[in-house]
Amino acid sequence: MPMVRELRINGRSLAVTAEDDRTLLGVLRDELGLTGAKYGCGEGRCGACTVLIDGEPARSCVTRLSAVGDREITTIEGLEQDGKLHPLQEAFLETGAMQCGYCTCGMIMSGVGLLRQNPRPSREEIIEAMNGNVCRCGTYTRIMAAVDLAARAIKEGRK
Amino acid sequence: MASWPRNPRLIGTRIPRLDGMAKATGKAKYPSDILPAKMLFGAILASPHAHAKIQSIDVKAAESIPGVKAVYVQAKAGSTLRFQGDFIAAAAATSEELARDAVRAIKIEYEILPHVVTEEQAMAPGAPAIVRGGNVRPGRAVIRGIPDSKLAEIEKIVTALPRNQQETRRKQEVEKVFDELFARSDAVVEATYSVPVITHVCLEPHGLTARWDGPDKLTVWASTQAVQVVANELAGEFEIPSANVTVLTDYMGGGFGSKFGADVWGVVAARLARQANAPVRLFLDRSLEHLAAGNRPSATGKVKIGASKDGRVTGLLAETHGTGGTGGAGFPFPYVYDIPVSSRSHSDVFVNGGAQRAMRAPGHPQACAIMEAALDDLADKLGMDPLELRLKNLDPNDFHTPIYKGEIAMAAELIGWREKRKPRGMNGTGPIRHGMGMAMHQWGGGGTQDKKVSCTISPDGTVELKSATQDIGTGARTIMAIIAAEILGLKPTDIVSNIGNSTFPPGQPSGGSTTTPSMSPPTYDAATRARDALFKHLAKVLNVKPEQLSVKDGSVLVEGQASLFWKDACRKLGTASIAETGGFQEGLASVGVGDCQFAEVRVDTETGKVKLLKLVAIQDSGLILDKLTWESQVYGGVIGGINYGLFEERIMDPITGVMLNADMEQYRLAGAADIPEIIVRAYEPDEQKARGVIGVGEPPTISTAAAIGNAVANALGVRVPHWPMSPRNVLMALSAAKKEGRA
Repeated sequence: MPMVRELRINGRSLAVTAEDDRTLLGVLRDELGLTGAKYGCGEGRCGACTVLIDGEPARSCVTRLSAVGDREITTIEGLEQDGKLHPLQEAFLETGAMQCGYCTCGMIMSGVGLLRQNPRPSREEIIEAMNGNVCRCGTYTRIMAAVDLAARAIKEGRK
Repeated sequence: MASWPRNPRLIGTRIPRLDGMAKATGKAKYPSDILPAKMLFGAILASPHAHAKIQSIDVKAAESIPGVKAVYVQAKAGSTLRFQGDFIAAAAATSEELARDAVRAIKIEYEILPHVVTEEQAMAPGAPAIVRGGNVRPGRAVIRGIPDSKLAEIEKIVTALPRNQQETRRKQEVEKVFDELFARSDAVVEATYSVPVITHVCLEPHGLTARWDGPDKLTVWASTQAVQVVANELAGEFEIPSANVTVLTDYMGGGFGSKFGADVWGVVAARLARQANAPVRLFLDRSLEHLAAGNRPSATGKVKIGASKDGRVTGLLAETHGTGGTGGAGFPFPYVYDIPVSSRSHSDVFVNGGAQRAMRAPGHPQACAIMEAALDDLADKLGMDPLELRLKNLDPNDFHTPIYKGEIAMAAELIGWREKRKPRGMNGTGPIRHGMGMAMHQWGGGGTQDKKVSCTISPDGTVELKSATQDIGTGARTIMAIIAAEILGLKPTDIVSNIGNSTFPPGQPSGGSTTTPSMSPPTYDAATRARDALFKHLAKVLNVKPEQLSVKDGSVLVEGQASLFWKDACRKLGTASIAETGGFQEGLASVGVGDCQFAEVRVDTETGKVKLLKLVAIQDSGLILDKLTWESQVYGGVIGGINYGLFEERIMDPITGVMLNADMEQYRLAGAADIPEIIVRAYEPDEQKARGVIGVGEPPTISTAAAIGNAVANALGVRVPHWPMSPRNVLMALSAAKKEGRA
């Protein structure tokens, strides 16, 4: 039976009415209108649905609502702070790291997750963190460059 | 004849795409994101069997589930299902989960029919015929270079025989001609090469959301490469005026040739919406994407090719076949090179698999892989540098040839061909081998001449372009804005590029690398007409002649002197906007590209793993409008080719008839870790720019897999004849070579 619960999303508390076994992706998209996370494969393999749960990248298409509890969810819609884009969003724009753009939000969320845990990743670490996200248009070269650029921008900003 | 500005401010520079911000913030709404009020969720029931007949179908239980609002049966009792994934029925319900419950509740009795799902199965003696006329549809040989007198002689012998013996005898006689030719050749290669069926794997699934706005008025949000094609199909299907159907595609998540129509699921979505009296969203899931939404046909080529000592090809005899499921599997062959004598016969093989659809340069990647492998093996047999062999066999009368030569020189330099490449088999004896290879391709990429763009300049200074084309990720929206901004002296961000709406002036479907060459001339024309109309109006107000006016950096100039800011100039229009429609203009677009790619690999002979080290792609495409999106296209094409070269294949189980890797776990695609250093260069001397705009979406994906295959052969000293260059195929080739004493 559907039940009302509070979800902590992008710094706010939102009430949703949904069954325990609903996917987080379905709830975000169809109940809350947060459509930045996309359906790509439904099995956690392509990364288009990536969001952060307590700061860690997670595949929302295979995350059941019952597993979310009161953990903090961050979606692409919650990255902007005080009208300023996240440095990785800026870097995606600067490098032109997108074509059709369908994988872009998932890519950015995986990259943001990496940069939160490791603000100065090596090239190998970037590749490892981003390897599970598929871009069928083939934009990887620029996506890697964007993550690298954002890491440098964050470093500069903190100096 | 129109011509592009000689010293452009914007054209040919690096301009970020206009929709980047929407895409990087999640604000871009893709068709599968749209959720109109009261929308129902759809789910599809598709055939679990490769070949079956529906004996009975009962939807009562499905319809009785609370929350299920409509069920539609496409394949009624008596229908034949021709592949796993063939469309049977769909349901619409108040949630996605309920819709899935509903289709699961549909009761069907199947009569299972015998299937063939691989070419081997389909071509085996005694195989069950799955289509009328048999599983193999042979085409007649296409013969070039054999003198007419000789052909007449053969026909005389053949026609004297009973009809059922004619084709075999004709083949024998032609082969005799080639036997003689090959006997006189200094080197002959005889081999069979093949590439598998692959699927499009668009990240956004196929589908649409349909909403009826009245009994004969329909709005759909479709993930499509052709808004007007979808609108016309739906209008036809429901017998309503085309003008009453609005298809909207602001963004879409990839098509690669597979999203041109409404498709059965699109039509059914609209039927369900009508039945339920509510909007319905119906998109495929990942499994159905692999099974039913198109694929690139396989190709196998049994090739015999000869050459004289100096590297000139003497002749080519080829028997090819491929399967596009229930569709054809043709491809151009011979490919690129000037082959003096050739005979090629091709058979389409039908299997119980989803029908093929156009996929990024249809037919060419297959042709390229087979042709380039054969040429490379021939060079090896002659003990010749494969680059030299290619140069010797370009057609001196083909306009591509000087372009090819310039590009080959660039690519060889960039990859270090002369310094680093060793002949095949000379790349060491240890387990890790280094190799280099190359391949060449060609494509059309021209445009159509019947598309229109409107350009509106409003009194508030806004400039809006409209056309019923769409941006599938290539940058079409940005390209159109760049052109208008160039002509109007504005920034691209000052232009609203309004596309992805079927009710706008006729726009190009995004396929065949035709969008930019089709849409650029009418955009140029519309912006020019609008500018001239503005000048005409301003001339009166300012009491000057229109010829004295020009635009630059957001201002209108009189006799070269800045006179009015753009906005102030437009304000003088009063209340009336300027609206001009532009069409085709001769001289702005062209057709025909030919290019090369070089690959460098490292192969582990113990694990069979191929590591790509470097890929060099040289691409011509006439005048480049935006370097940034142009490069994106070439990178993307190359990475598509890396997937084809190393990873992708549809694996069918001959026993159960199902696809074993209809997901994104076992169907392998490149990730970040698989991407080598990729060097992309435009081949754009002035005479190329002068040709005008040519499309670039498809050509850069053609020769990547072929170049990788040749690099692997160079590394191993053994040809891996079957793509992809997966550990399995590499190890199989090494083991076969060992058995035969070749390695």
